[in-house]
Amino acid sequence: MKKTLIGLLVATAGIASHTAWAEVNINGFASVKGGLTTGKDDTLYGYTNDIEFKQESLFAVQLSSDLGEKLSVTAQLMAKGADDYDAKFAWAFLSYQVNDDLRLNAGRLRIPFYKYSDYLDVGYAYDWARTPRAVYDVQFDQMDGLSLYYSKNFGDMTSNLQLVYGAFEGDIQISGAMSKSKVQDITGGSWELSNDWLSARVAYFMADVTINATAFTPLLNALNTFGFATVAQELDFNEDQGTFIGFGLSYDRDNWIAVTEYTKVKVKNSYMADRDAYFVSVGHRFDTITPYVSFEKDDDTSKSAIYKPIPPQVPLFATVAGVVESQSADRDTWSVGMRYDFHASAAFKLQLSSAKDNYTAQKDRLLTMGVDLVF
Amino acid sequence: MKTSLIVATFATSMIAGSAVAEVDISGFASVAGGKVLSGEGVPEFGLGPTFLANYPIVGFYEEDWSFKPDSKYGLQISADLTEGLTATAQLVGRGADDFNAEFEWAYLSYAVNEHWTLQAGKKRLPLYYYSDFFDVSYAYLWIRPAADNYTWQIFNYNGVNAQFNYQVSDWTVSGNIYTGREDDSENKLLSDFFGSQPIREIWKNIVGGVLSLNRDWLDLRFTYMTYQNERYRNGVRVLWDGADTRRGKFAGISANIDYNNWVVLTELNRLTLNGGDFDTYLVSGGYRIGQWTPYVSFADFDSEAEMHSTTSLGARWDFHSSAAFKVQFDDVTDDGINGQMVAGDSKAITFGIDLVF
Repeated sequence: MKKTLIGLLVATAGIASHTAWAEVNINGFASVKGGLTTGKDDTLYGYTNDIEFKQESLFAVQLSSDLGEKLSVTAQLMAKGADDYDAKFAWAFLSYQVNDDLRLNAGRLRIPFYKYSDYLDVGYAYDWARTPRAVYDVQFDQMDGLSLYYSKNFGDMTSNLQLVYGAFEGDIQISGAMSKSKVQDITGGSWELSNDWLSARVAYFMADVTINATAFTPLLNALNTFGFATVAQELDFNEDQGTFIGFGLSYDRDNWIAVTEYTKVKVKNSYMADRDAYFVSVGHRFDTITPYVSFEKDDDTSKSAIYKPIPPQVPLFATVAGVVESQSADRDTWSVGMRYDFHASAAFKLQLSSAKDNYTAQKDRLLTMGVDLVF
Repeated sequence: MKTSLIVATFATSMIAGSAVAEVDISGFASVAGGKVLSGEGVPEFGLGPTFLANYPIVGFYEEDWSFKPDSKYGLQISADLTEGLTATAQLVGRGADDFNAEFEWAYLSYAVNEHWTLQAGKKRLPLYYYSDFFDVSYAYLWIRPAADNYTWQIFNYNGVNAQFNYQVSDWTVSGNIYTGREDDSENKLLSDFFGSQPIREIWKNIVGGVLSLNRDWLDLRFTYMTYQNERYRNGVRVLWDGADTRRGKFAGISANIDYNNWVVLTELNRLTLNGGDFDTYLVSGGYRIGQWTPYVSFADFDSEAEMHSTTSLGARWDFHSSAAFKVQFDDVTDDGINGQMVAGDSKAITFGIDLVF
């Protein structure tokens, strides 16, 4: 299925030269999912009690071309329902294969925060209806920069090391409002060691985080005006150091599949709580049907020390305390579901998730079903 | 079966060309330019002479030549995964939207048998005869389907549908049953043209059906759809007579004839919304003379307060096996009352080339 789309591309771009014809591979993936919460006022992951097919549906086309001489180019054009199906380049990078073990990528790349980072949007790659949200919750997943892959086999073990450096510029949601953000000097990497049935992974990243959270501008101005400039600095995201630590372990043997990941995310001198999260998922493959159960824990500790310098009788105290404490979370999510491989490259999924907020005891239940496929 | 192996293509080294499916790419493009020759605009809205050529995406001409309102390009990607499974996408960039690329289709199809196909995802809302290929101008006679008929602000939906196709003696009987929802976070027509505040338009609990009967030179089509409308203006829920939703019902019939070089196209539709009727119809006639098809067309929109019609005169010239040149003159009469004018009277000229590849 090697398409010579290049003819079209070349014509469109108006490049007259016919010396650099390369073969272009076209692949892609798509998901169509529908979901609804089971209680009238329940909301979860953007779903409500009205059935809806847009929230997690997506379509992506991936073009890759080997330019020869160890150079290749990859682009992924993706439209997400949640984004009104606007077409965007999620990935666009050049690869240079230095030698059998070493490869350098440059361009728009996925940041390897998690075990499934490379296939975040490729639902077909995992058994769940979605990657566990408690853990997979960093609001940006791509960067513009460089990435170095080094893979090596030791006996029956494979080691994969990936180092990245880059920056992200885009919108991050803060208190419900999309806010212009810059995450600079993203530096770090992931290392995975695996054999046939066991895989262990560790990831560490740091970056300077700046978010222009307009929702908080009036509050920050008030703090500065009333002599609490240091408190304002502890609240905002102004080139504040963020760190990400992740661990993962997965097991796949005799049709039993188990996966666990733990992450710890912090942004110093910001009102963002220290976020700890993990999930454990266990499933069993019965031929084409894989039922599973998973548990996710989200434990975010608010930084109460931020508002301590403000005397409680000052009216700003309550506002700042409210903002800071709103960041704390203690949430348990149980999911049961199944994957049905009805086709060689498509799977039907059905998942019921129940998220419980341990502060309010509020439970939200969501039923999701859909098809994930790759082509 | 270890899925991680299959998906390895998508991992870090996606260069491997593992042939999972047959991918077909086709496309279409329209380049059209036009201008208003004379027009009244709507002084009370501060609107100068304007010809609204495309309601849903707000494509309009003014007194200077513009090549944006009807121009567009599209790519269709169809991946045949075998065993009846297909993934289809249509990527469209329209001049009226600054050529921003958006997926208008993104759906999966599963052929259950030779008669029935199940589909799920994002599709065109098949209200009108030309809804499914609205953007593929090469597929029809005019520069554009009659603006006065194709006016509704929601034209896609996300959901599931079942298509069927049977042969009954000389007739091809085909159709579609669908259900779904569309949530347009900032509807262009309502927010930009008919208002100045951001409007989130939701059509939910959409249920509809289409039945087509074809034989030889005759083509009949029946359409029905019902939905619930929910709307937010500037984030505040809009109430209609105290209710936070309203029910709309759309019904239409279309009869087309293509006989001895004569082409007659008709469409008659009614939307009933909270008891009010919005009636539209179009009648077009053309005659094929070699590569040329001159045509006349009349389209009308009629409701309690919003009333407008367009008389069009034009020609299609099939100068190439997959490209056509078109020129069209439109004369719009806007008889809207009680502040329900659209863009006032206007006379406009448009010409352009439509092609498919």
